Amino acid sequence: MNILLQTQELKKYFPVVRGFLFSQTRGWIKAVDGVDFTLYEGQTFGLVGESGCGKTTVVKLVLLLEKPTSGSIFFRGRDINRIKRDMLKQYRTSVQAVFQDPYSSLSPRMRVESIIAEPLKASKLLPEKQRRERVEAVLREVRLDHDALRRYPHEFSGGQRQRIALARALSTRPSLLVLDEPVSALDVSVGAEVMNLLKDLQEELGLTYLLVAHNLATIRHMSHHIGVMYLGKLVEMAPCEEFYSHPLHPYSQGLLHAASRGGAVTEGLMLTGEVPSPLNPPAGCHFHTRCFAMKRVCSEIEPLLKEVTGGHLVACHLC
Amino acid sequence: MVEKLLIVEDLKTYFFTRMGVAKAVDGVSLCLEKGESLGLIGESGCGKSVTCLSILRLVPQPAGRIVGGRILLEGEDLLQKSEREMRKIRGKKVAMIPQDPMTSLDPVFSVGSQLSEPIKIHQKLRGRELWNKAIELLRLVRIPIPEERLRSFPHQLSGGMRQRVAGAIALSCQPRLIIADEATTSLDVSIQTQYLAMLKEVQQQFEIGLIFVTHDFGIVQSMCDRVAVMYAGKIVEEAPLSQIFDAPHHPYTMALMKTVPKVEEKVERLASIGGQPPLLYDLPPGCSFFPRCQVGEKECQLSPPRVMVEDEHWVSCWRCS
Repeated sequence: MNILLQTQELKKYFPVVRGFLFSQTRGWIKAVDGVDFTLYEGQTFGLVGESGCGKTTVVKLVLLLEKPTSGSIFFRGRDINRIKRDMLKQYRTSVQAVFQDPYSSLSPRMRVESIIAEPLKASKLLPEKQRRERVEAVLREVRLDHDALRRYPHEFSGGQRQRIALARALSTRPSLLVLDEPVSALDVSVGAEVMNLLKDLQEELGLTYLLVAHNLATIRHMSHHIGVMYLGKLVEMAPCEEFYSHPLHPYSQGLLHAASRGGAVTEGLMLTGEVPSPLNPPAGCHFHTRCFAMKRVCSEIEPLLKEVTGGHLVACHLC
Repeated sequence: MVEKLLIVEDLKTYFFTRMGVAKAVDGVSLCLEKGESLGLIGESGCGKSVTCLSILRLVPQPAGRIVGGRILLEGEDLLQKSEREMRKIRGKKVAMIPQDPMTSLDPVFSVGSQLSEPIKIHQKLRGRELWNKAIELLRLVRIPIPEERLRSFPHQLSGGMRQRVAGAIALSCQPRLIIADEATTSLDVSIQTQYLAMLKEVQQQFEIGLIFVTHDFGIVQSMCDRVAVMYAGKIVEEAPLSQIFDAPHHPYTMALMKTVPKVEEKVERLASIGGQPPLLYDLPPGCSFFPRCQVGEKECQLSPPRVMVEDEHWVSCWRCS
């Protein structure tokens, strides 16, 4: 398997500022605090976690919408925060994104044709004459009718809109798609269609996906590898099936337990309390305040991500 | 026989729009016993929320109107009540937990004043008594340090806490019926589980009837005794919890269940229903699901009969008759 993208000790801290004129930095929110993951070509890496765990910041860093505080992102072996401008342009065309809400990610004043052609226009990837051809091609790929081109986003349903957003992302022929909660705003049956389409496209076009979601079932359906984030850190990372059959981190176990309802609630596994404030995360293991298996060492020493079995990494003193 | 808490008979709520008459709720019948919880499930636009709003008589006027049917709450017909009388019922006998606690709580009033409003109006409590009651309610929904929280404003609370406050407001006058419209959709999974466990306990403790509107089968499974599946303004299947999961009968219910990815197992391809839900102002004749149905036949162009396939398990489909 070829590595497409790799992050190394990726960190993003946001300053917390008080005051206006003589402002002072009071502290840092460690939104992403040393995250290492690898995307293999043609595969999907699923990132899960509750709100505020830093998933979206990771997405922003990969899309170059934020500059990392430290650490690097390697795309095909090159550090994308250090490459020259023309290379950067190439990176931007080969990494595209699909966002959560297709009602706000498409401009209501543009026709579908201009929406899909916009990345091409901005990147000057194709001469104007060939743009139309490309737009028609990607429209076919997302299984939309040709007459959609002349219409406006409001004429489409949620699922169709998400397809338009996907067509726009595909128009530059990217190799990596960043999917930030692509189906959570859609109805279940529509979401299923979009997920099937994403899987088909991955096979047809050999795309790599970085999938961010909070729904563990969606992640399981789509991903090859999974990373679980908690307060800016990866706490567990494993191949998909391995993760779902043997979740090791107490947080992962709690999340899975919460997601697979139906059965009775097991007291011990239920996650209690809320995610602590990222401004002042607990010492030691960030999760120890909510952990059912907490030992003394957990509140003192921060556990490191270490390999337990083949490809299964976990950051927990007890595993 | 147990006394029925709520009986909805042939409820019809239509919206009169420029495009035509949208039959958002078209002949819905439901009943709910004391302390029972009913899950109302379906895709967006199928009429779940309008059904709930109709029970509270809060259908947006003037476009929307309840054009037919009866809604009996403990034997009293809510549709015959005047607006004045309704105001005495809302919040007291029927309460609602709205979907999004970000928008349902007023940002400029403290939690305490919002929580005490219904108690002031319905139970006429004042001063110390009112304050203690509010604290008691926050304790009921498991909010730590309730004394302090009463002085907080909604933006100072997390999403889960805010939804608990909304729950406390709904519970404030010990209603007979609570309508929870997608009450946990905006919460994280772990918070969701905690919230549902709390709600279920309180519901059983006070024997409150609960209508739980959702599109998540998992939530229905952990919360409800009975499930009604809605499609295009009609209830297509209604059954006790165990039966609907083990033996769904309506093709729509079956299709809907297959589209949900599961945490427990990996399927290569998710089933999809195909097509679009019909436009509510231009419904196909006969069974509304017929255009998307994979097993439909000729007779489906006529209105399907409501058949009892098993004890308390109703299906509106020609195939089951």
